[in-house]
Amino acid sequence: MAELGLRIEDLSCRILKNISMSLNKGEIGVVLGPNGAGKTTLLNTISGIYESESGKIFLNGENITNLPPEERNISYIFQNLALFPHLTVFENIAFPLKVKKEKNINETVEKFLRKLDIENIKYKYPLKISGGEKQRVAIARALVTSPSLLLMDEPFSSLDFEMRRFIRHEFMRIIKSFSITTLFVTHDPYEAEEVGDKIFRIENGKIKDENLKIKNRILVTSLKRISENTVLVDVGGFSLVAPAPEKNSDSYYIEFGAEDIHISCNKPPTPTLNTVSANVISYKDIDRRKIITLDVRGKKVVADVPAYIWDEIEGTRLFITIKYRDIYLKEAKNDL
Amino acid sequence: MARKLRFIIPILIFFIAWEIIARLPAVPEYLFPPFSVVLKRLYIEILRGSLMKNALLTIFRVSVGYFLGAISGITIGILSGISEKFNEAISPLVFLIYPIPAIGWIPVLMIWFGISNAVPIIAVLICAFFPIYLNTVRGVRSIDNSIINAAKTMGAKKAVLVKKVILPLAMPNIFTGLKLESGMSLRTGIVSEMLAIPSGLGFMLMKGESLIDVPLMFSVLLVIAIFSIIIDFVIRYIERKVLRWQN
Repeated sequence: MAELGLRIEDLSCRILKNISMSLNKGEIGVVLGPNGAGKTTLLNTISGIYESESGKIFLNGENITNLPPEERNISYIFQNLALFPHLTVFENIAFPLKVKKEKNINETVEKFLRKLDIENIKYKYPLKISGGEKQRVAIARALVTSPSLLLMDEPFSSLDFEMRRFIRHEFMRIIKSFSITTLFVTHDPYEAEEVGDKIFRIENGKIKDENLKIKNRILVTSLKRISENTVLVDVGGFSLVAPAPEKNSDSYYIEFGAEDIHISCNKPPTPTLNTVSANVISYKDIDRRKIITLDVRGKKVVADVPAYIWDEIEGTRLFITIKYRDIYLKEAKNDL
Repeated sequence: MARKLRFIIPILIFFIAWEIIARLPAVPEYLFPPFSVVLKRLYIEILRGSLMKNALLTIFRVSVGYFLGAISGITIGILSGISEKFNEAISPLVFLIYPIPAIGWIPVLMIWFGISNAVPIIAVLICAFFPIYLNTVRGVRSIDNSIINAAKTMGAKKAVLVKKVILPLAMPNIFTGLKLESGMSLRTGIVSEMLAIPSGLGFMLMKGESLIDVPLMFSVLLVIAIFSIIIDFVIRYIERKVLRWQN
Protein backbone atom coordinates (compact mmCIF):
# COMPACT_ATOMS: atom_id res chain seq x y z
CA MET A 1 0.00 0.00 0.00
CA ALA A 2 1.27 3.47 -0.91
CA GLU A 3 2.54 5.60 2.00
CA LEU A 4 0.77 8.87 2.79
CA GLY A 5 2.82 11.98 2.10
CA LEU A 6 0.47 14.86 2.93
CA ARG A 7 -2.73 14.62 4.94
CA ILE A 8 -4.91 17.59 5.83
CA GLU A 9 -7.82 17.26 8.24
CA ASP A 10 -10.57 19.90 8.61
CA LEU A 11 -8.21 22.79 7.99
CA SER A 12 -9.64 26.29 8.34
CA CYS A 13 -7.76 29.55 7.84
CA ARG A 14 -9.06 32.89 6.52
CA ILE A 15 -11.19 31.96 3.48
CA LEU A 16 -10.50 28.20 3.84
CA LYS A 17 -13.25 26.15 5.46
CA ASN A 18 -12.78 22.57 6.67
CA ILE A 19 -10.36 21.48 3.99
CA SER A 20 -9.51 17.78 4.00
CA MET A 21 -7.26 16.15 1.45
CA SER A 22 -4.45 13.66 1.12
CA LEU A 23 -1.58 12.84 -1.20
CA ASN A 24 0.53 9.71 -1.34
CA LYS A 25 4.31 10.03 -1.20
CA GLY A 26 5.63 11.13 -4.59
CA GLU A 27 2.19 12.08 -5.92
CA ILE A 28 1.41 15.39 -7.59
CA GLY A 29 -1.82 16.98 -6.42
CA VAL A 30 -3.32 19.92 -8.25
CA VAL A 31 -5.53 22.51 -6.56
CA LEU A 32 -7.73 23.91 -9.31
CA GLY A 33 -9.97 26.89 -8.87
CA PRO A 34 -10.77 30.44 -9.92
CA ASN A 35 -9.01 33.55 -8.59
CA GLY A 36 -9.94 34.25 -4.96
CA ALA A 37 -11.00 30.64 -4.30
CA GLY A 38 -8.34 30.20 -1.60
CA LYS A 39 -5.65 28.32 -3.54
CA THR A 40 -2.71 30.47 -2.43
CA THR A 41 -4.13 30.70 1.11
CA LEU A 42 -4.08 26.90 1.21
CA LEU A 43 -0.40 26.78 0.20
CA ASN A 44 0.49 29.57 2.63
CA THR A 45 -1.25 27.70 5.46
CA ILE A 46 0.43 24.40 4.64
CA SER A 47 3.84 26.12 4.48
CA GLY A 48 3.24 27.86 7.82
CA ILE A 49 3.25 31.42 6.45
CA TYR A 50 -0.34 31.70 7.73
CA GLU A 51 -1.30 30.19 11.07
CA SER A 52 -4.22 27.77 10.76
CA GLU A 53 -7.34 28.54 12.81
CA SER A 54 -8.32 24.88 13.22
CA GLY A 55 -7.54 21.49 11.75
CA LYS A 56 -4.37 19.47 11.35
CA ILE A 57 -1.63 19.06 8.76
CA PHE A 58 0.43 15.86 8.66
CA LEU A 59 3.54 15.47 6.56
CA ASN A 60 4.96 11.95 6.24
CA GLY A 61 2.97 11.05 9.36
CA GLU A 62 4.28 13.95 11.50
CA ASN A 63 1.89 16.62 12.75
CA ILE A 64 3.38 19.89 11.48
CA THR A 65 0.36 22.13 12.19
CA ASN A 66 2.07 24.19 14.88
CA LEU A 67 5.63 24.16 13.54
CA PRO A 68 7.11 27.44 12.23
CA PRO A 69 7.74 27.56 8.45
CA GLU A 70 11.49 27.02 8.83
CA GLU A 71 10.98 23.68 10.61
CA ARG A 72 8.50 22.09 8.18
CA ASN A 73 10.94 20.89 5.48
CA ILE A 74 8.69 22.27 2.77
CA SER A 75 9.88 24.02 -0.39
CA TYR A 76 7.65 26.64 -1.95
CA ILE A 77 7.90 27.91 -5.52
CA PHE A 78 6.01 31.20 -5.67
CA GLN A 79 4.09 32.61 -8.62
CA ASN A 80 6.88 35.15 -9.25
CA LEU A 81 9.51 32.50 -8.36
CA ALA A 82 10.87 34.81 -5.60
CA LEU A 83 14.52 34.43 -6.55
CA PHE A 84 16.81 36.61 -4.44
CA PRO A 85 17.85 39.37 -6.87
CA HIS A 86 20.98 40.24 -4.89
CA LEU A 87 22.39 36.71 -5.01
CA THR A 88 23.90 34.93 -8.00
CA VAL A 89 22.30 31.76 -9.36
CA PHE A 90 24.84 29.71 -7.38
CA GLU A 91 24.18 31.66 -4.18
CA ASN A 92 20.41 31.39 -4.66
CA ILE A 93 20.61 27.59 -4.84
CA ALA A 94 23.10 27.44 -1.95
CA PHE A 95 20.95 29.70 0.27
CA PRO A 96 18.67 27.03 1.83
CA LEU A 97 21.67 24.73 2.37
CA LYS A 98 23.63 27.49 4.13
CA VAL A 99 20.64 28.40 6.28
CA LYS A 100 20.30 24.76 7.33
CA LYS A 101 24.10 24.54 7.86
CA GLU A 102 24.40 21.53 5.53
CA LYS A 103 27.77 20.03 4.65
CA ASN A 104 29.31 19.81 1.15
CA ILE A 105 27.29 22.79 -0.06
CA ASN A 106 29.47 23.47 -3.12
CA GLU A 107 29.30 19.87 -4.36
CA THR A 108 25.51 19.70 -3.87
CA VAL A 109 24.92 22.97 -5.68
CA GLU A 110 27.22 21.98 -8.55
CA LYS A 111 25.30 18.69 -8.87
CA PHE A 112 21.98 20.54 -9.20
CA LEU A 113 23.46 23.08 -11.61
CA ARG A 114 24.53 20.17 -13.83
CA LYS A 115 21.21 18.35 -13.46
CA LEU A 116 19.23 21.40 -14.49
CA ASP A 117 21.72 22.42 -17.15
CA ILE A 118 22.35 25.90 -15.70
CA GLU A 119 26.09 25.67 -14.99
CA ASN A 120 26.80 28.36 -17.56
CA ILE A 121 24.79 30.97 -15.65
CA LYS A 122 25.91 30.17 -12.12
CA TYR A 123 27.66 33.52 -11.59
CA LYS A 124 24.87 35.60 -13.10
CA TYR A 125 22.27 37.54 -11.13
CA PRO A 126 18.56 36.76 -11.65
CA LEU A 127 18.03 40.11 -13.41
CA LYS A 128 20.42 38.94 -16.14
CA ILE A 129 18.89 35.55 -17.01
CA SER A 130 15.91 34.50 -19.14
CA GLY A 131 12.46 33.46 -17.89
CA GLY A 132 13.14 29.78 -18.61
CA GLU A 133 16.47 29.90 -16.79
CA LYS A 134 14.78 31.56 -13.80
CA GLN A 135 12.30 28.66 -13.66
CA ARG A 136 15.16 26.17 -13.59
CA VAL A 137 16.95 28.07 -10.83
CA ALA A 138 13.72 28.11 -8.82
CA ILE A 139 13.35 24.32 -9.19
CA ALA A 140 16.97 23.71 -8.26
CA ARG A 141 16.62 25.91 -5.17
CA ALA A 142 13.40 24.15 -4.20
CA LEU A 143 14.77 20.62 -4.61
CA VAL A 144 18.30 21.06 -3.30
CA THR A 145 17.29 20.39 0.32
CA SER A 146 15.29 17.24 -0.57
CA PRO A 147 12.04 18.61 0.87
CA SER A 148 9.24 16.36 2.11
CA LEU A 149 6.72 18.49 0.21
CA LEU A 150 6.95 20.87 -2.72
CA LEU A 151 4.37 23.63 -3.04
CA MET A 152 3.98 25.44 -6.37
CA ASP A 153 1.81 28.50 -6.82
CA GLU A 154 1.08 28.95 -10.55
CA PRO A 155 4.77 29.08 -11.40
CA PHE A 156 4.13 29.25 -15.17
CA SER A 157 1.50 31.97 -15.18
CA SER A 158 3.88 34.67 -16.41
CA LEU A 159 4.88 32.72 -19.54
CA ASP A 160 3.16 32.79 -22.92
CA PHE A 161 1.17 29.74 -24.04
CA GLU A 162 3.86 27.93 -26.08
CA MET A 163 6.67 28.63 -23.63
CA ARG A 164 4.39 27.63 -20.78
CA ARG A 165 3.66 24.23 -22.33
CA PHE A 166 7.30 23.54 -23.01
CA ILE A 167 8.60 24.64 -19.58
CA ARG A 168 5.75 22.91 -17.75
CA HIS A 169 6.59 19.59 -19.35
CA GLU A 170 10.28 20.00 -18.58
CA PHE A 171 9.49 21.14 -15.04
CA MET A 172 7.21 18.23 -14.24
CA ARG A 173 9.62 15.70 -15.76
CA ILE A 174 12.33 16.90 -13.38
CA ILE A 175 10.02 16.95 -10.37
CA LYS A 176 8.71 13.46 -11.11
CA SER A 177 12.24 12.14 -11.40
CA PHE A 178 12.82 13.25 -7.79
CA SER A 179 9.58 11.58 -6.58
CA ILE A 180 8.73 14.46 -4.25
CA THR A 181 5.17 14.87 -2.99
CA THR A 182 3.94 18.03 -4.71
CA LEU A 183 0.94 20.30 -4.40
CA PHE A 184 0.47 22.50 -7.45
CA VAL A 185 -1.95 25.39 -7.72
CA THR A 186 -3.50 26.55 -10.99
CA HIS A 187 -6.65 28.08 -12.43
CA ASP A 188 -6.08 26.36 -15.78
CA PRO A 189 -7.98 23.05 -16.13
CA TYR A 190 -5.74 21.87 -19.00
CA GLU A 191 -2.67 22.44 -16.87
CA ALA A 192 -4.32 20.58 -13.98
CA GLU A 193 -5.12 17.59 -16.22
CA GLU A 194 -1.61 17.46 -17.60
CA VAL A 195 0.26 17.85 -14.33
CA GLY A 196 -1.73 16.20 -11.58
CA ASP A 197 -2.15 12.66 -10.30
CA LYS A 198 -5.03 14.04 -8.22
CA ILE A 199 -7.08 17.15 -8.83
CA PHE A 200 -8.78 19.04 -6.02
CA ARG A 201 -11.35 21.57 -7.20
CA ILE A 202 -11.63 24.48 -4.79
CA GLU A 203 -14.34 27.14 -4.70
CA ASN A 204 -14.98 29.79 -2.03
CA GLY A 205 -12.48 28.14 0.29
CA LYS A 206 -14.02 24.64 0.08
CA ILE A 207 -12.87 21.53 -1.77
CA LYS A 208 -15.68 20.74 -4.22
CA ASP A 209 -14.51 17.37 -5.47
CA GLU A 210 -11.46 15.19 -5.73
CA ASN A 211 -10.58 13.46 -8.95
CA LEU A 212 -8.05 10.66 -9.05
CA LYS A 213 -6.28 10.32 -12.36
CA ILE A 214 -5.52 6.77 -13.41
CA LYS A 215 -1.87 5.87 -13.85
CA ASN A 216 -0.50 2.71 -15.46
CA ARG A 217 2.57 1.26 -13.81
CA ILE A 218 4.42 -1.71 -15.30
CA LEU A 219 7.60 -3.28 -13.97
CA VAL A 220 10.53 -3.11 -16.39
CA THR A 221 12.20 -6.44 -17.20
CA SER A 222 15.15 -5.00 -19.10
CA LEU A 223 16.46 -1.63 -20.10
CA LYS A 224 18.83 -0.75 -22.95
CA ARG A 225 20.36 2.70 -23.42
CA ILE A 226 19.99 3.92 -27.02
CA SER A 227 21.46 7.38 -26.53
CA GLU A 228 22.43 9.62 -23.63
CA ASN A 229 18.83 10.64 -22.98
CA THR A 230 16.85 7.72 -24.40
CA VAL A 231 16.34 4.10 -23.40
CA LEU A 232 14.53 1.12 -24.87
CA VAL A 233 12.40 -0.41 -22.16
CA ASP A 234 11.18 -4.01 -22.25
CA VAL A 235 8.21 -4.73 -19.99
CA GLY A 236 7.80 -8.41 -20.81
CA GLY A 237 5.30 -8.46 -23.64
CA PHE A 238 6.32 -5.31 -25.48
CA SER A 239 8.95 -2.58 -25.67
CA LEU A 240 8.74 1.21 -25.46
CA VAL A 241 11.20 4.01 -26.10
CA ALA A 242 11.34 6.36 -23.12
CA PRO A 243 13.43 9.20 -21.67
CA ALA A 244 16.37 7.88 -19.65
CA PRO A 245 15.86 7.77 -15.87
CA GLU A 246 17.41 10.50 -13.72
CA LYS A 247 18.47 8.10 -10.98
CA ASN A 248 20.41 4.86 -11.44
CA SER A 249 18.72 1.86 -9.91
CA ASP A 250 18.64 -1.94 -10.08
CA SER A 251 14.97 -2.03 -11.00
CA TYR A 252 12.49 0.37 -12.56
CA TYR A 253 8.86 0.64 -13.48
CA ILE A 254 7.34 2.73 -16.24
CA GLU A 255 4.48 5.07 -15.50
CA PHE A 256 2.09 6.68 -17.96
CA GLY A 257 -1.32 8.22 -17.52
CA ALA A 258 -4.49 6.50 -18.75
CA GLU A 259 -5.30 9.78 -20.49
CA ASP A 260 -1.95 9.76 -22.30
CA ILE A 261 -2.86 6.67 -24.33
CA HIS A 262 -4.02 7.31 -27.91
CA ILE A 263 -6.15 4.59 -29.51
CA SER A 264 -7.04 3.74 -33.12
CA CYS A 265 -8.50 0.70 -34.82
CA ASN A 266 -6.06 0.72 -37.74
CA LYS A 267 -2.41 -0.16 -37.60
CA PRO A 268 -0.35 2.87 -38.69
CA PRO A 269 0.81 2.43 -42.36
CA THR A 270 4.45 2.99 -41.41
CA PRO A 271 6.29 1.86 -38.25
CA THR A 272 5.49 4.28 -35.44
CA LEU A 273 7.34 4.74 -32.18
CA ASN A 274 5.62 3.20 -29.15
CA THR A 275 2.59 1.78 -30.99
CA VAL A 276 1.45 -1.72 -29.96
CA SER A 277 -1.64 -3.83 -30.54
CA ALA A 278 -4.11 -4.42 -27.71
CA ASN A 279 -7.33 -6.28 -26.95
CA VAL A 280 -10.25 -4.75 -25.11
CA ILE A 281 -11.10 -6.63 -21.91
CA SER A 282 -13.83 -4.30 -20.63
CA TYR A 283 -14.92 -0.68 -20.57
CA LYS A 284 -17.11 1.64 -18.54
CA ASP A 285 -18.64 5.09 -19.02
CA ILE A 286 -17.65 7.97 -16.75
CA ASP A 287 -19.13 11.32 -17.72
CA ARG A 288 -18.33 11.74 -21.39
CA ARG A 289 -15.31 9.47 -21.25
CA LYS A 290 -14.61 5.75 -21.61
CA ILE A 291 -12.35 3.94 -19.19
CA ILE A 292 -11.10 0.94 -21.17
CA THR A 293 -9.21 -2.00 -19.69
CA LEU A 294 -6.87 -3.45 -22.27
CA ASP A 295 -4.73 -6.54 -22.62
CA VAL A 296 -1.47 -5.41 -24.19
CA ARG A 297 0.45 -8.61 -24.94
CA GLY A 298 -0.27 -10.04 -21.54
CA LYS A 299 -0.07 -6.77 -19.57
CA LYS A 300 -3.16 -5.02 -18.22
CA VAL A 301 -3.32 -1.37 -19.26
CA VAL A 302 -6.10 1.16 -18.57
CA ALA A 303 -6.89 3.87 -21.11
CA ASP A 304 -9.08 6.92 -20.48
CA VAL A 305 -10.36 8.38 -23.77
CA PRO A 306 -13.10 10.81 -24.78
CA ALA A 307 -16.34 8.96 -25.69
CA TYR A 308 -16.38 10.28 -29.28
CA ILE A 309 -13.05 8.54 -30.00
CA TRP A 310 -14.35 5.26 -28.62
CA ASP A 311 -17.43 5.53 -30.85
CA GLU A 312 -15.16 5.28 -33.91
CA ILE A 313 -13.61 1.98 -32.72
CA GLU A 314 -14.93 -1.24 -34.28
CA GLY A 315 -14.33 -4.64 -32.74
CA THR A 316 -12.16 -5.45 -29.73
CA ARG A 317 -8.74 -5.28 -31.31
CA LEU A 318 -7.06 -1.89 -31.53
CA PHE A 319 -3.69 -0.13 -31.50
CA ILE A 320 -2.42 2.08 -28.72
CA THR A 321 0.28 4.74 -28.91
CA ILE A 322 2.04 6.29 -25.93
CA LYS A 323 4.14 9.34 -26.65
CA TYR A 324 7.81 9.16 -25.69
CA ARG A 325 7.58 12.22 -23.45
CA ASP A 326 4.54 10.90 -21.53
CA ILE A 327 6.45 7.89 -20.20
CA TYR A 328 8.26 8.20 -16.90
CA LEU A 329 10.84 5.70 -15.69
CA LYS A 330 10.89 5.45 -11.93
CA GLU A 331 12.91 3.56 -9.42
CA ALA A 332 11.00 0.44 -8.33
CA LYS A 333 10.89 -0.04 -4.58
CA ASN A 334 8.22 -2.18 -2.92
CA ASP A 335 5.23 -0.11 -3.92
CA LEU A 336 4.25 -2.05 -7.07
CA MET B 1 36.73 60.12 -21.36
CA ALA B 2 34.05 62.25 -23.08
CA ARG B 3 31.97 62.03 -19.90
CA LYS B 4 34.88 63.23 -17.76
CA LEU B 5 35.47 66.13 -20.16
CA ARG B 6 31.78 67.07 -20.01
CA PHE B 7 32.20 67.28 -16.23
CA ILE B 8 35.52 69.16 -16.20
CA ILE B 9 35.00 71.72 -19.00
CA PRO B 10 32.17 73.72 -17.32
CA ILE B 11 34.25 73.89 -14.12
CA LEU B 12 37.30 75.18 -16.04
CA ILE B 13 35.12 77.79 -17.80
CA PHE B 14 33.78 78.86 -14.40
CA PHE B 15 37.29 79.34 -12.95
CA ILE B 16 38.43 81.29 -16.06
CA ALA B 17 35.33 83.53 -15.90
CA TRP B 18 35.99 84.05 -12.17
CA GLU B 19 39.60 85.07 -12.88
CA ILE B 20 38.54 87.50 -15.65
CA ILE B 21 35.68 89.11 -13.69
CA ALA B 22 37.78 89.50 -10.52
CA ARG B 23 40.52 91.27 -12.50
CA LEU B 24 38.13 93.90 -13.88
CA PRO B 25 39.14 97.36 -12.58
CA ALA B 26 35.71 97.93 -11.05
CA VAL B 27 36.01 94.88 -8.78
CA PRO B 28 37.99 95.44 -5.54
CA GLU B 29 40.43 92.53 -5.00
CA TYR B 30 39.98 92.43 -1.21
CA LEU B 31 36.25 91.71 -1.69
CA PHE B 32 36.41 89.35 -4.67
CA PRO B 33 39.93 87.97 -5.20
CA PRO B 34 40.84 86.32 -8.53
CA PHE B 35 40.95 82.52 -8.66
CA SER B 36 44.77 82.55 -8.98
CA VAL B 37 45.05 84.57 -5.75
CA VAL B 38 42.77 82.10 -3.96
CA LEU B 39 44.89 79.18 -5.20
CA LYS B 40 48.05 80.92 -4.00
CA ARG B 41 46.47 81.51 -0.58
CA LEU B 42 45.34 77.90 -0.45
CA TYR B 43 48.92 76.77 -1.15
CA ILE B 44 50.26 79.05 1.62
CA GLU B 45 47.67 77.79 4.13
CA ILE B 46 48.55 74.19 3.27
CA LEU B 47 52.23 74.92 3.84
CA ARG B 48 51.43 76.57 7.17
CA GLY B 49 49.58 73.43 8.20
CA SER B 50 46.60 75.19 9.76
CA LEU B 51 44.25 74.43 6.87
CA MET B 52 45.07 70.70 6.88
CA LYS B 53 44.73 70.53 10.66
CA ASN B 54 41.33 72.20 10.61
CA ALA B 55 40.19 70.22 7.57
CA LEU B 56 41.08 66.93 9.29
CA LEU B 57 39.13 68.01 12.38
CA THR B 58 36.07 68.75 10.23
CA ILE B 59 36.40 65.43 8.40
CA PHE B 60 36.67 63.60 11.72
CA ARG B 61 33.57 65.29 13.21
CA VAL B 62 31.44 64.91 10.09
CA SER B 63 32.52 61.30 9.51
CA VAL B 64 31.82 60.20 13.08
CA GLY B 65 28.43 61.98 13.19
CA TYR B 66 27.45 60.70 9.75
CA PHE B 67 28.55 57.13 10.59
CA LEU B 68 26.61 57.11 13.88
CA GLY B 69 23.57 58.66 12.17
CA ALA B 70 23.72 56.08 9.38
CA ILE B 71 24.15 53.09 11.71
CA SER B 72 21.33 54.20 14.02
CA GLY B 73 19.08 55.21 11.06
CA ILE B 74 19.57 51.84 9.35
CA THR B 75 19.16 49.80 12.56
CA ILE B 76 16.04 51.57 13.80
CA GLY B 77 14.71 51.77 10.22
CA ILE B 78 14.98 47.99 9.82
CA LEU B 79 13.29 47.41 13.18
CA SER B 80 10.47 49.77 12.14
CA GLY B 81 10.21 48.07 8.76
CA ILE B 82 9.87 44.55 10.12
CA SER B 83 7.90 45.21 13.30
CA GLU B 84 4.60 47.06 13.09
CA LYS B 85 4.52 47.46 16.90
CA PHE B 86 7.97 49.04 16.99
CA ASN B 87 7.02 51.32 14.12
CA GLU B 88 3.84 52.42 15.89
CA ALA B 89 5.91 53.31 18.95
CA ILE B 90 8.61 55.24 17.13
CA SER B 91 6.95 56.93 14.16
CA PRO B 92 5.08 59.60 16.21
CA LEU B 93 8.42 60.65 17.74
CA VAL B 94 10.05 60.75 14.33
CA PHE B 95 7.34 62.98 12.92
CA LEU B 96 7.61 65.25 15.96
CA ILE B 97 11.39 65.68 15.85
CA TYR B 98 12.13 65.37 12.11
CA PRO B 99 10.88 68.88 11.14
CA ILE B 100 13.29 70.54 13.60
CA PRO B 101 16.40 71.56 11.62
CA ALA B 102 19.57 69.88 12.92
CA ILE B 103 21.26 73.28 13.35
CA GLY B 104 18.38 74.26 15.64
CA TRP B 105 19.83 71.83 18.22
CA ILE B 106 23.26 73.51 18.26
CA PRO B 107 22.53 76.10 21.03
CA VAL B 108 21.07 73.35 23.23
CA LEU B 109 24.03 71.08 22.54
CA MET B 110 26.43 73.93 23.38
CA ILE B 111 24.82 74.25 26.80
CA TRP B 112 24.82 70.49 27.36
CA PHE B 113 28.32 69.68 26.09
CA GLY B 114 30.18 73.03 26.14
CA ILE B 115 32.89 73.66 23.57
CA SER B 116 33.63 70.11 22.49
CA ASN B 117 33.60 67.78 19.51
CA ALA B 118 30.27 66.40 20.76
CA VAL B 119 28.39 69.46 19.47
CA PRO B 120 29.13 69.08 15.71
CA ILE B 121 29.13 65.27 15.95
CA ILE B 122 25.64 65.15 17.50
CA ALA B 123 24.32 67.85 15.17
CA VAL B 124 25.54 65.80 12.16
CA LEU B 125 24.11 62.62 13.71
CA ILE B 126 20.67 64.26 14.05
CA CYS B 127 20.90 65.58 10.49
CA ALA B 128 21.86 62.18 9.01
CA PHE B 129 19.58 60.01 11.12
CA PHE B 130 16.08 60.96 9.91
CA PRO B 131 16.41 60.74 6.11
CA ILE B 132 18.42 57.52 6.39
CA TYR B 133 15.84 56.12 8.83
CA LEU B 134 12.91 57.01 6.55
CA ASN B 135 14.60 55.62 3.44
CA THR B 136 15.47 52.40 5.27
CA VAL B 137 11.85 51.92 6.37
CA ARG B 138 10.72 52.55 2.77
CA GLY B 139 13.36 50.07 1.52
CA VAL B 140 12.27 47.31 3.91
CA ARG B 141 8.59 47.87 3.12
CA SER B 142 9.25 47.71 -0.63
CA ILE B 143 10.67 44.17 -0.46
CA ASP B 144 8.36 41.68 -2.17
CA ASN B 145 6.62 39.62 0.52
CA SER B 146 7.08 36.43 -1.45
CA ILE B 147 10.88 36.83 -1.21
CA ILE B 148 10.67 37.07 2.58
CA ASN B 149 8.26 34.14 2.73
CA ALA B 150 10.52 32.12 0.42
CA ALA B 151 13.47 32.71 2.77
CA LYS B 152 11.32 31.74 5.78
CA THR B 153 10.18 28.46 4.21
CA MET B 154 13.83 27.70 3.37
CA GLY B 155 14.59 27.81 7.09
CA ALA B 156 15.81 31.38 7.58
CA LYS B 157 15.24 32.61 11.13
CA LYS B 158 14.87 36.31 11.93
CA ALA B 159 18.57 37.17 12.30
CA VAL B 160 19.53 35.45 9.02
CA LEU B 161 16.49 36.93 7.30
CA VAL B 162 17.55 40.46 8.27
CA LYS B 163 21.25 39.98 7.50
CA LYS B 164 21.00 38.00 4.27
CA VAL B 165 17.72 39.16 2.72
CA ILE B 166 16.14 42.28 4.21
CA LEU B 167 19.26 44.43 4.62
CA PRO B 168 20.72 43.73 1.15
CA LEU B 169 17.37 44.27 -0.56
CA ALA B 170 16.73 47.53 1.32
CA MET B 171 20.18 48.80 0.26
CA PRO B 172 19.03 50.69 -2.88
CA ASN B 173 16.78 52.87 -0.71
CA ILE B 174 19.37 53.11 2.07
CA PHE B 175 21.90 54.46 -0.45
CA THR B 176 19.38 57.07 -1.59
CA GLY B 177 19.30 58.31 2.03
CA LEU B 178 23.08 58.06 2.42
CA LYS B 179 23.71 60.09 -0.75
CA LEU B 180 21.12 62.71 0.19
CA GLU B 181 22.62 63.19 3.62
CA SER B 182 26.33 63.17 2.81
CA GLY B 183 26.23 66.80 1.59
CA MET B 184 23.79 67.90 4.28
CA SER B 185 26.00 66.38 6.99
CA LEU B 186 29.05 68.31 5.79
CA ARG B 187 27.05 71.54 5.75
CA THR B 188 25.68 70.89 9.26
CA GLY B 189 29.16 70.07 10.56
CA ILE B 190 30.59 73.32 9.20
CA VAL B 191 27.71 75.42 10.54
CA SER B 192 28.22 73.80 13.98
CA GLU B 193 31.90 74.74 13.88
CA MET B 194 31.00 78.31 12.83
CA LEU B 195 28.71 78.66 15.83
CA ALA B 196 30.18 76.48 18.54
CA ILE B 197 33.86 75.58 18.23
CA PRO B 198 37.15 77.45 17.70
CA SER B 199 38.50 74.86 15.25
CA GLY B 200 37.61 73.22 11.94
CA LEU B 201 36.80 74.65 8.51
CA GLY B 202 33.70 76.40 9.86
CA PHE B 203 35.83 78.24 12.39
CA MET B 204 38.33 79.24 9.65
CA LEU B 205 35.46 80.79 7.69
CA MET B 206 34.39 82.81 10.72
CA LYS B 207 38.02 83.83 11.33
CA GLY B 208 38.26 85.04 7.70
CA GLU B 209 35.06 87.01 8.16
CA SER B 210 36.29 88.74 11.35
CA LEU B 211 39.62 89.65 9.68
CA ILE B 212 37.92 90.51 6.36
CA ASP B 213 40.29 87.97 4.85
CA VAL B 214 38.26 87.06 1.74
CA PRO B 215 41.03 85.00 0.00
CA LEU B 216 41.19 82.78 3.11
CA MET B 217 37.40 82.36 3.07
CA PHE B 218 37.44 81.44 -0.61
CA SER B 219 40.27 78.93 -0.13
CA VAL B 220 38.28 77.27 2.69
CA LEU B 221 35.15 77.21 0.50
CA LEU B 222 37.20 75.58 -2.26
CA VAL B 223 38.35 72.87 0.16
CA ILE B 224 34.74 72.27 1.27
CA ALA B 225 33.67 71.90 -2.39
CA ILE B 226 36.49 69.39 -3.02
CA PHE B 227 35.49 67.41 0.09
CA SER B 228 31.86 67.29 -1.09
CA ILE B 229 32.94 65.88 -4.45
CA ILE B 230 35.22 63.29 -2.80
CA ILE B 231 32.50 62.18 -0.33
CA ASP B 232 29.96 61.86 -3.16
CA PHE B 233 32.47 59.89 -5.26
CA VAL B 234 33.27 57.51 -2.38
CA ILE B 235 29.59 56.84 -1.61
CA ARG B 236 28.77 56.25 -5.29
CA TYR B 237 31.76 53.89 -5.57
CA ILE B 238 30.59 51.88 -2.54
CA GLU B 239 27.04 51.89 -3.92
CA ARG B 240 28.23 50.45 -7.25
CA LYS B 241 30.13 47.70 -5.42
CA VAL B 242 27.30 46.84 -3.00
CA LEU B 243 24.50 47.03 -5.59
CA ARG B 244 26.36 45.32 -8.42
CA TRP B 245 23.39 42.94 -8.78
CA GLN B 246 21.35 45.89 -10.05
CA ASN B 247 23.77 46.93 -12.78
